Amino acid sequence: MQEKLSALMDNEWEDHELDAMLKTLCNEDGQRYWQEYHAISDALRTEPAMSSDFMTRFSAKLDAEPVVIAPNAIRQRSATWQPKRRWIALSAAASVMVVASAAWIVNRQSTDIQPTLAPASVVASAPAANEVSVAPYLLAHHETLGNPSWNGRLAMKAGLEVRRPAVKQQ
Amino acid sequence: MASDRDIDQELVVRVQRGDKKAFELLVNKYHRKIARLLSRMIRDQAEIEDVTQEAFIKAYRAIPSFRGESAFYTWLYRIAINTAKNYLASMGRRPTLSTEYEDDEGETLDAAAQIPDLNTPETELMNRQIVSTVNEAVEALPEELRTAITLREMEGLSYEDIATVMNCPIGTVRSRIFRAREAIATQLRPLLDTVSTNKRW
Repeated sequence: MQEKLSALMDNEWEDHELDAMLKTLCNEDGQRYWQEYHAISDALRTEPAMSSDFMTRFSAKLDAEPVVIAPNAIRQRSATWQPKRRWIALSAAASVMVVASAAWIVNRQSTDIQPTLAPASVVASAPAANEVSVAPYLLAHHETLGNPSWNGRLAMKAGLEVRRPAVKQQ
Repeated sequence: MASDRDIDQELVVRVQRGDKKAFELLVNKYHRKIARLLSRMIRDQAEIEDVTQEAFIKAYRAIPSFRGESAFYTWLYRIAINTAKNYLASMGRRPTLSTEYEDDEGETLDAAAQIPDLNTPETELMNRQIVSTVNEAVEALPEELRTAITLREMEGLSYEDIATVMNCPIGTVRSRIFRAREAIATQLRPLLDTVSTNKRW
């Protein structure tokens, strides 16, 4: 466990382990190792020491703060924050499947829409009147959407919410 | 093994979901670096710590505005510098060397910072003890552990790069760095325990 925490602070981890490791980080032992390893790192770089009660005082101040919640604040990944390439292909494939399927479902009820033309915008607008039809499909395939590359990515998950297509009218 | 993601952003995502503990992890990681940065604008140790705390609280309140477009530490450094400027203005003082902090790049700010004048007896003594303990522990490490931890901490190399330099598998690098940290932590623990007895951190 400690070896994985050590690697975690160096941005070296297996994606499927991330959630469990972050949970560990928030328990007492995890915090202690995090504190010690960063103290070592800072000492090697001659960062200054702080008063021994710095964190205690800060924790008290933070406790007094109202909890901030902004789950969708990080919506777009920066160039330096991309998922591994092998998952991009899988994610793209999953997206194509969802788009194609949604378009197919829509097409069953509206022969005016061409299923061969299935850009993302079709998903965003067409299912609005057919939310009931699409929702069970997306619910049933929720696992497909949550591949390991997106673990812990609430912003991404929010983008895949069942009701999302109906909300995002164009 | 190497992830293309960043632990800071992973923690920020959790803070934005309402997890204060994740924010404390970020504070624990960055508070000494922020203090060093602010020590070039503020001389007094107690004031540096107070402004550092205030900067982190401001960062917490502003965390909804962090959208991951820049590195977290760059965003944090900017808040810290503005907090210090406001503090000095409220005290009727001008920041020293203020023009050096206009750069948006955290790296530049960090590289420009010097060893601060944190000279209260308590922190000076603790600083010397921690640094000497860590350096002695590093010197006592077997060569392959010392090389691995040095390449990581001092040179900032990725595990993949260290594996290339040391001609060994990445898993071995990970193990060596961990064993180095544990060996150093074993020496450091009594020192940290004495200052944090009965404290949360």
